Amino acid sequence: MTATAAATVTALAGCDLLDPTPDAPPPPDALMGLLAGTHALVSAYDAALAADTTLTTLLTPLRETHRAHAAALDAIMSPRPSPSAFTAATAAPVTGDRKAILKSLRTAEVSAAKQAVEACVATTAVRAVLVGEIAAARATHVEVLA
Amino acid sequence: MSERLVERLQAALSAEHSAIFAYARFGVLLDKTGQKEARTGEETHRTRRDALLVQLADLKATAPVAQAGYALPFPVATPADALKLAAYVEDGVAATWRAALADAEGEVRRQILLAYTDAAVRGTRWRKLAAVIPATVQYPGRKTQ
Repeated sequence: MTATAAATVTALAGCDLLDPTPDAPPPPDALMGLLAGTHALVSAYDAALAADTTLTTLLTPLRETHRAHAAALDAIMSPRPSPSAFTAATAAPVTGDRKAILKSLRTAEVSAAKQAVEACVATTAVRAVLVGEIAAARATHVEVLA
Repeated sequence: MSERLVERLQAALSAEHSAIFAYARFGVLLDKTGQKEARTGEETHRTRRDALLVQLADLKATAPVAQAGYALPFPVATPADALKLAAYVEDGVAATWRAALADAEGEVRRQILLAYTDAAVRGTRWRKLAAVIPATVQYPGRKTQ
């Protein structure tokens, strides 16, 4: 290689014209953790509803809210999460009586509400309303599970 | 702090003024449990109002004053009407705070989110007391859902 050719290679690499890792995946969206937590809540409600059918009226609207939130988050994320990313998110079988089931869900909602508050504070202005709505909705779930 | 955020805080103060007025109107119609809840709710709105007055004064921004009276959205004569108005008021307050989220950052956004969530939770509590099912909504404070 001539001195001129070597200098050209160095210059191209230095300008990032030649990407050393062209297939590197983009980093996950900052809301990935919030979305994963939302899917975990859906799974927890699925398990609770399967364990006690007398809770259907109370719990179904709450589960549907989490499903709606998951779809809304999915729609704004970049890159879009893989549809299979959360299919394995199944909660452990629910044990205990009605009171224990509600207490377990309440604990999960309290923790999830805190996660959403921090996500809302950290996110962009464009996303702040949706993430804030999710935080507020989770807090209202705690209220009805009390 | 942006001019837009100041306008949002002014709107929140107006909402808190009207909530305080409404609580005085419907609180007396409620049973003992409801009256206790109403006292706590009214106190919270007074606290938020006072904090907003300080915040707007610090910003040298005009603070909207309370009106002598506010038109109620529907006649309120029974305990059921009172519970309905209570939820209506909190939903309105929640909507006003929600609208401010995108114009704030960091700790100011956290403070707005706290006020928004507080109103959303109280609205849910009133619907629970009124035996409304479901007592929750998917997006608290959002007008169309």
